[in-house]
Amino acid sequence: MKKIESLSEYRALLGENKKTHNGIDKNCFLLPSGMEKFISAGKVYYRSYDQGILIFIDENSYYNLYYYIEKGSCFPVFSCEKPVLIEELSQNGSRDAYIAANEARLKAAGFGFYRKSFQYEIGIGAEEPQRFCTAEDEQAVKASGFRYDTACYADFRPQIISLWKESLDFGDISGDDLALELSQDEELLTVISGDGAVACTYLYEIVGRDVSEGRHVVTNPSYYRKGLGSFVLGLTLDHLRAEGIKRHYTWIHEQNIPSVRMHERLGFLQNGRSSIQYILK
Amino acid sequence: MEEMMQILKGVRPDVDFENEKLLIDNKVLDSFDIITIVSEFNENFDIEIDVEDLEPYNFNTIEAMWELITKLQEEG
Repeated sequence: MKKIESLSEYRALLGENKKTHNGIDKNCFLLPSGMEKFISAGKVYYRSYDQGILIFIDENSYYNLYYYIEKGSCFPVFSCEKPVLIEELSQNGSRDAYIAANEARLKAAGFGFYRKSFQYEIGIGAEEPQRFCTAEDEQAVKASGFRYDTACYADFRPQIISLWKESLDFGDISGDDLALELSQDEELLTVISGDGAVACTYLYEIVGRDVSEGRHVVTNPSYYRKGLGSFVLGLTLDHLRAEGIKRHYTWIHEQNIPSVRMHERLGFLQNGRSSIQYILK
Repeated sequence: MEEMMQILKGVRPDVDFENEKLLIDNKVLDSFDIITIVSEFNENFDIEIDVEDLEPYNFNTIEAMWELITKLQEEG
């Protein structure tokens, strides 16, 4: 596996790959600025094969894989020291036929189906009338001894990481990656705490001019069934609206029915976008 | 151009495509929007938008997108 040192090297590799193959299947539509960010961080590697080129983004405990291989060719069979994840995205079934055809060759190369998620979205612009977290909700939560903040994770960082490690099912993706996410500037967090313990957290990110993405709601099992998940979401949505954000979306695993219900109760709706992940262990 | 507008409105009905002039630079469109738009353009206009075409200046305005489509159709 060779490291890619610059965007121009990346472009040259893909240009050469295009010349030597008859049409390219790919799963990467990152803009150059997005790829450059990974390259600058020293996280991008590649391997060349007869069929084309594979680009590996090092996500610490796993690789995110972008492929550029000849149309209809078999997928290169390879082994790797870390799990490798391929993600295929689709909107309103627009790529279903391609994804179905591609699945067979990914499986032949050793990739297993990992999970399917759907995007749920809610409008939170100023024209939306309701508050997501009412004054009554706030009073009830405060009366129960909880406090909350949108920027207090430094106080609770070890507790939060420990809670996430125990609570999140990421398969081969470790809790250490989540700790790294916490240290990244773009990531923001709402924390609810009670009795000096972290009760519930919501990690989210501003992804566009007026768009935000929810990443994870995690509730400490000792505080289940107190409505804290809905509360932390509502609190965050109101906060984002005050900051000028107009859309908020999140990915929910298709089998995570409790999360689907919680989001739907707040007004989230499926927006037709889906993601299928394949993993090579 | 009308077909392209229908595709864009289908992907992001909330965006004012006629008047936004910095769709990428101002982060009006996110990476998922780009994936969808590129897939739809490829399929509907029988073109192949490559990685080297994925530059902000090709997607910042509807005029630039239309120019890219017509250029690739002529080349194809």
